[in-house]
Amino acid sequence: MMSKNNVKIMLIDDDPINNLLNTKLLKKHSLLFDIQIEIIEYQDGQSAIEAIQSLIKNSNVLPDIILLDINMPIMNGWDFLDRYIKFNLPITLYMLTSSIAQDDINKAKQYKQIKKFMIKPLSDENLNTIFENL
Amino acid sequence: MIKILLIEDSEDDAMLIQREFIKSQIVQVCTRIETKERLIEMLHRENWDIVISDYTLPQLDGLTALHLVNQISPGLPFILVSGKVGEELAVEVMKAGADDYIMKDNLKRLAPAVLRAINEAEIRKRHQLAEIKIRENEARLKALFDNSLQGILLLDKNLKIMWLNKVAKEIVREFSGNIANLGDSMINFIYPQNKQALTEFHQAALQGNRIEHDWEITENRWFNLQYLPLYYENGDVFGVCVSFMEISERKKNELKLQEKNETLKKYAFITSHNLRKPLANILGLISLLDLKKFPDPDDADIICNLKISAQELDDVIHETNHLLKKKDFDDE
Repeated sequence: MMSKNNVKIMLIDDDPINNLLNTKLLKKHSLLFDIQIEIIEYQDGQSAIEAIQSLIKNSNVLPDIILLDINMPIMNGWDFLDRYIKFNLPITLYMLTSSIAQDDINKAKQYKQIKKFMIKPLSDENLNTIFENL
Repeated sequence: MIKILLIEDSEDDAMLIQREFIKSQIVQVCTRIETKERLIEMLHRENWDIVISDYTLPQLDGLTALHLVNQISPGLPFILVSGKVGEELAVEVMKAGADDYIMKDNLKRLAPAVLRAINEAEIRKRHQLAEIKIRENEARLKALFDNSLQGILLLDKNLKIMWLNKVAKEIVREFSGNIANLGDSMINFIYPQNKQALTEFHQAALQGNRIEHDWEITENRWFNLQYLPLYYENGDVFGVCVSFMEISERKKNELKLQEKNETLKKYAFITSHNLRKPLANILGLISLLDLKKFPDPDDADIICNLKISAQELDDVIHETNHLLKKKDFDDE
């Protein structure tokens, strides 16, 4: 287990309740690992991709982790991924969605950039996965 | 044994005639008559192998006898025997349908002429029967093809129509407005946008392939078509049989079913995405609640039951999703 004390997590999800929930779950769980986390939120793929572009441009610190939803307005998770993979960034990306559709699960398998397909709500097991793979 | 109907008024002549048969060792039975009435009666009453007739009798002449025979028993051999047959009369009698004529002073010709006439009549009869049979077979095949619900079209190697049945003719007329005749090129009756497909399928069938496909000839008019190669006995292909049937109704139902499937797919999508989204939030939020902060045991109980109910709802959604997946309602 690599240890990192300050972890930046990007949430990409259009549902504010979900973002609030995930923020709380992540913060609560980070205490178990003795990790400081910083969370940034984007409500669609488009604003997230723009934020990443701007971070790269200004040589700012990139997030360590991205939690990506599928169904979002403006730019959904898949379209975000197609843009995102071109940057070839060392970020650990998790799909985090309420979808249990087999189509989505199969599609996710085609992207090697997706570390894991997680189904909402974030389970303890998945939270462990996130903090153990830093 | 040959059954002879002899029209002869002279008993002596009759004896002479019969003697010729005995000389030639021909087994026969001979019935002699003299009048028109007896002739009609005998023709109706029995089956004869041949009629031998004198030319001039007191109550009947050879030509009248011949006409009666032709009328009542067509095909029955007829030989005229006479003492004084002139050449003109002989020609007339032969034209009227007699098989032969014999002079009474040359009766040795009679036996072989009778045998030959009977033999030829037999051959004629067999040919006629064969012809009738062929015509019957043709009529039966035609009835079969014309009563088929399928359109049947036989095309040669150059897409020329070798044969087509009634249904095919009607369909071709309905779509092209023209009547297809044997020898016409099928290309002339096809919509321009379909010409390439017809040519390709026809070619493929000529290569020996059997092809079946559904084709929307024009909007909402679907046909099922089968292309079969036609072979000579030596195995060479000489054409293509195209049989076709309208399946628009079936296609319409298939499309309806597809629409229903689309609705089901939408339903599955809504269940697995939209419905589950708020539920996932509820489940997550409940898990964040710290029961220690609820000193009232009733409150703790409510929270527990809330969690159980939400979990049950999630199980139902999972089950529904699994069911839709398993039923394989989506062919794609």
